[in-house]
Amino acid sequence: MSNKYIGQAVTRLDAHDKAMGRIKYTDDMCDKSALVIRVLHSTVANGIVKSIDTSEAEKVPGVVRIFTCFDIKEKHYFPTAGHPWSTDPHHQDIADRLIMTDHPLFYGDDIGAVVAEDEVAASQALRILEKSVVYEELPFVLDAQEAMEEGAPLLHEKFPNNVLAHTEIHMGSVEEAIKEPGLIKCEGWYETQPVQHCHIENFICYAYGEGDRTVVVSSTQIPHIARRVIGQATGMDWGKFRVIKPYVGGGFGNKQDVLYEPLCAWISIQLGGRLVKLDVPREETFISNRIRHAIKYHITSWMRPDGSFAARTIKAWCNNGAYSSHGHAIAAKGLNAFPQLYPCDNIDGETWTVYTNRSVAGAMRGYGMPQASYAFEVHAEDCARAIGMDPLEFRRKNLMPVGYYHAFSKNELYSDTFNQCFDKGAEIIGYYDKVKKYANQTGDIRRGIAASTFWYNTAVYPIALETSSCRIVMNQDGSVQFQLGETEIGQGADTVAAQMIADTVGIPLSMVHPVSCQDTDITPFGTGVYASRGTYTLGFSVRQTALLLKEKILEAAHQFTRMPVYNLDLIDGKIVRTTDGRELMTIGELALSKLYTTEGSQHLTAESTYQIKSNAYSFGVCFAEVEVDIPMCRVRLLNIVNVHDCGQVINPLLAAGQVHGGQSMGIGYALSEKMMWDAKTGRPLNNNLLDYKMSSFMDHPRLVADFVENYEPTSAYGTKGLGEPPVCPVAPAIRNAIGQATGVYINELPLSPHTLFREFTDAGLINDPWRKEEQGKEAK
Amino acid sequence: MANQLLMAKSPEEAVAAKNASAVFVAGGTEVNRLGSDAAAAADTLISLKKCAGLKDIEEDAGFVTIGSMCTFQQLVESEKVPSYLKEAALFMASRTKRNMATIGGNIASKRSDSYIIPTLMAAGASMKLLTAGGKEVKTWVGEYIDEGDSDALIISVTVPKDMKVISKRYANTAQSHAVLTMSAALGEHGVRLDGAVKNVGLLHFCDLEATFREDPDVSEDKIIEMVRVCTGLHTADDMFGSDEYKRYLIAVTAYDLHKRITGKEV
Amino acid sequence: MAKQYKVVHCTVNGKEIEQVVDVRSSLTDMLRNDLHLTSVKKGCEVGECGACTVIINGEGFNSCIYLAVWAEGKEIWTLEGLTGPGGELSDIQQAFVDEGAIQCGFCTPGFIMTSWEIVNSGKEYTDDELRKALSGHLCRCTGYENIFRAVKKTMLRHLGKYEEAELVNSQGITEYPEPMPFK
Repeated sequence: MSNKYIGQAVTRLDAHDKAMGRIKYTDDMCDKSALVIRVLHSTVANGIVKSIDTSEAEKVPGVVRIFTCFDIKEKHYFPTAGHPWSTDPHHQDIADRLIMTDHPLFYGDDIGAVVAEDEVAASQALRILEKSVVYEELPFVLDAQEAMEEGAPLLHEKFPNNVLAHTEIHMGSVEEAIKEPGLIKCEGWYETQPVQHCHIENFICYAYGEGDRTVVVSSTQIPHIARRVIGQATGMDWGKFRVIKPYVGGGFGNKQDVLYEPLCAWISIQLGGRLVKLDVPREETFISNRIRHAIKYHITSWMRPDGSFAARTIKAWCNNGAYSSHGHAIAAKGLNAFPQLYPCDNIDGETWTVYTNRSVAGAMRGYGMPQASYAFEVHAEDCARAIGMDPLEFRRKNLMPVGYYHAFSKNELYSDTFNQCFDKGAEIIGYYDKVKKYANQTGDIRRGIAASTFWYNTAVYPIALETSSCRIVMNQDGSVQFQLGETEIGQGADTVAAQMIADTVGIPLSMVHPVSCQDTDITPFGTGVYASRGTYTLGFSVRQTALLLKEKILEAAHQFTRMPVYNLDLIDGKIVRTTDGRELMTIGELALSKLYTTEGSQHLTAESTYQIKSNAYSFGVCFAEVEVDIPMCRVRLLNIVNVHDCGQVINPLLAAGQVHGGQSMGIGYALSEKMMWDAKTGRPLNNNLLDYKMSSFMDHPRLVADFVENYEPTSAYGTKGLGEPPVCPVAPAIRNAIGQATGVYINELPLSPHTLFREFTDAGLINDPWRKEEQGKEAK
Repeated sequence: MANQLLMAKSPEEAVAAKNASAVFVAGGTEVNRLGSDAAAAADTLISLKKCAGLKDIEEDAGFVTIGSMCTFQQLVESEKVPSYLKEAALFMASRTKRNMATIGGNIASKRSDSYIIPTLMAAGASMKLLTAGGKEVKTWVGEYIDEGDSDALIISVTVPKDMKVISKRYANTAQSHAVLTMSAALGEHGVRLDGAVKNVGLLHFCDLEATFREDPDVSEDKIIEMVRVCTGLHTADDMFGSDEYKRYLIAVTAYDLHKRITGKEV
Repeated sequence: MAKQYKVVHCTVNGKEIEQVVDVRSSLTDMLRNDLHLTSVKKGCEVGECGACTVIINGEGFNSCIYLAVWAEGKEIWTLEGLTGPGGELSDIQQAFVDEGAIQCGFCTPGFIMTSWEIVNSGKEYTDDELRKALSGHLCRCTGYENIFRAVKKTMLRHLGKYEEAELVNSQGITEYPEPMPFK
């Protein structure tokens, strides 16, 4: 296998078309005759819909039909999570969603739909319809811990105390371990906030009938899974649906859930197969799609004076919103990471995933690890301070050591990743000089620097099925198309797969073309992209399939060149006799001959499935340098450096792009993003792009991404996951840097000016005479 | 929901068409956006894009008169517009939006997070309105904010050319709604302070001005305390911050602006 | 109430057109639905994300809040118009491709239109000014880093500063000699 393309900063294959503006996303492909669907959302956080009077709304010119929850005759509850289906009922996702419900469980739940000829008519009808819904309002609860208390409103009958799931881990004996004399205790409560994906292309899908089936075109990460769920939601055979995924304008996990495909398909069927389109406006995307889980942690560590851990405990409460979606998986990922990142013989851990009457939390880049990494890493910083050790040295001492083996997942830390990443990052940013320079500052404007790490792995083995399928088809001129179940959503999956195929088969990259659009009728089955599985999992089926194709090519070459297969190779598109290097024929000549020969004609194609039974740790670090204007409570980011070990980097340009994107999300997570609800009504407060503070061009410094390449032994191409890891260490690094600068270490997110104001005033850094007076009164 | 569009060719035509169920559309950044309540409630949109005589910028005897339909970007690029007003226009970070948003539209929206109203109020800007009867009326920006006739059309805004005005705006990110926008101006009667406090309104800080006049060397602590206990200020805890935080911000900003505008070292 | 229609005469991507529109239509709707210029994207419809940006008489506007009827007599350019008749990319488009400034590509058309205006202005922007000039566009994929490089390099090249352009990519850390209070 050549390494002509792997490792090169090849331009992504669709860049040219995207720069020309001719790439078609879902709305661009939809015929303009489509009827427009607008969803009627609940305006109460918990209630029963008693009636909806559609008569006035129906009179709006252009309205075709109005559906309500009362039109659903057979209630097919369905799960929405983008997980591979499990044939074991105990392992299946919770099926608690209806296409339209008469018992809305959060403000924004789906209780009806308007179908009209154009947007204006649909909006007008919707405004009228909203006023004609009669609810029996019920009490609601928005906070996870409150939802667990006795007497809290119950969302789902089968889940007492609103606990979706509760899991524990126990290692050794914490009770015994803390009896050791001389232990130093460090305890903290840490809280992270709900945020939203804010992909620039809102979720959109359209559906139409074709024969006795329904076609759904959707901006989704998981077309094959979507097909299954549409079948489950409508109670129809799964094969009655065809799902097509065109180019997607970002997903980040929101589109790793089945959102409105079932409703859209169902409406099309009700209208005899009419073409209908459901384009979710931005405001509704915030509320009625998915958000990130807000998680509250309580972590305690007991350390020996030398800085090693004697015992640790963790408790975490995870706010899941009103329906299960991805369920307990997010909280569980964090809980399972806890004993791995900083191993300790004595650990007690518990986590609850809780239902509340809030927007549904689902998968979002990092899948629980940005939350957990924040808690783990700010706690680690606090531990280092409690012991009086340098934070970086404390981490090096306690992090997962080389050779660590995790029995359940069979993951192994093969290399000294953490130290390598820390060393490289520290050198790039000048950590050691700066951390000295910034110690013990005074004055209003102070600088700080800190580093944080995280835990992450690749794909979902052994928790769920991991499988990838690939098909490669060769044309008469030797060029190929390939299809994968792993979807291109902007991360560059198509391009890296093409690089792998070019090198493994032995043809120029210019002869490799992805079929970027997944179509469940044609594309080999795959579960899509999530869990940073893309490059790792597709690598397996790509390599296997490419080798199968190459085998067929060399067989054909043997037929035409009379040379034995073991003396032949395909290099850069030429059949080469390896004994003397002579080029015998081009791949184009071979493909043409093989297809048209009257002696054993064959279309050269290969297809295979690979079930992946391995996983890979993917670690990295973030160094953050900040400047804090204390009186103004503002943080300025000076430098952000991420160093990641994602194994062999297939494409440095695309890999760096993924890191930049993760850093960007981490910056917003750390400093400004937060979704908020009104405590009195359960209504979301900031569900638009002005009030929800997503970072803009001006809020970012230059972003630096670098890599340490430890070839992953279990991988087809030495790779490990990269899509999600970059988000994870950024927020804790920023928090720790602010702490280093000011001495104020904050345990919540985001670190917005009004949060800093509260903390700086409490710490006495800001002179608020009123506060002093209050404190004076309390002291008396 | 608006069904009719009138492309008014003159201010008189626009004003004549204005009634309770019609709304003026200037740049479109407020009225045309998805979810705009103004557009939803109205039957008719009166577009001012073709109106004659609303886009000029004239300088005369130390004052600059700006047509109400001048865009924020025009303010930034014009040589005649004083730099303090350009700075305020630049608070709108998005260039493509600045190409559309108008000075008249921003005043008429009376937003509690307006980019330029505090600056205009502090500078003592005056406005010319055309009322329903075809009458021209002159008023101060502050007056218009409090009692202005919403059926009248803003024709122009007049600002002093050489005045010292400094403004500050706080938003969590470059784009978002601001919790506080404040301006200080140095006039013959001393320092004038105006601000836009999100969810409270457009305020003229008379009490602070009086305090600064009485004692130009007053300490920052005293200002913080004064704003803290001020009962006439109706800030509250909301998603933009706590009541305490907003009062603190108003106080330190007022103190800082006062210091800078009276030329003292910070 | 009956719908109201109007004919709009304007030039789009160099071609004179006449288009009947519902008076309430946005320019985005006219460009996408009537003229099939699908590079103009809808991201928020409130003028915040910049994905709908087009050039009108040489300046960038958010077409989602721009009434189609206001386009009367104007010269409009969308991303489709920037490409040459034989498929040649303009230098700013090529820079986006080369610098890895495109991931999902949804914000790209809007960014390229504003960037095109910036690099053709003949002005040299400082880094901060460049960031401010581009802050009307939101992107969730790239962290703006490679977009910044693409625009800055192209701007410098337009000004003849080729050597300086090549230095933009050095992955070094930024130095800040002076403190920068939020004043």
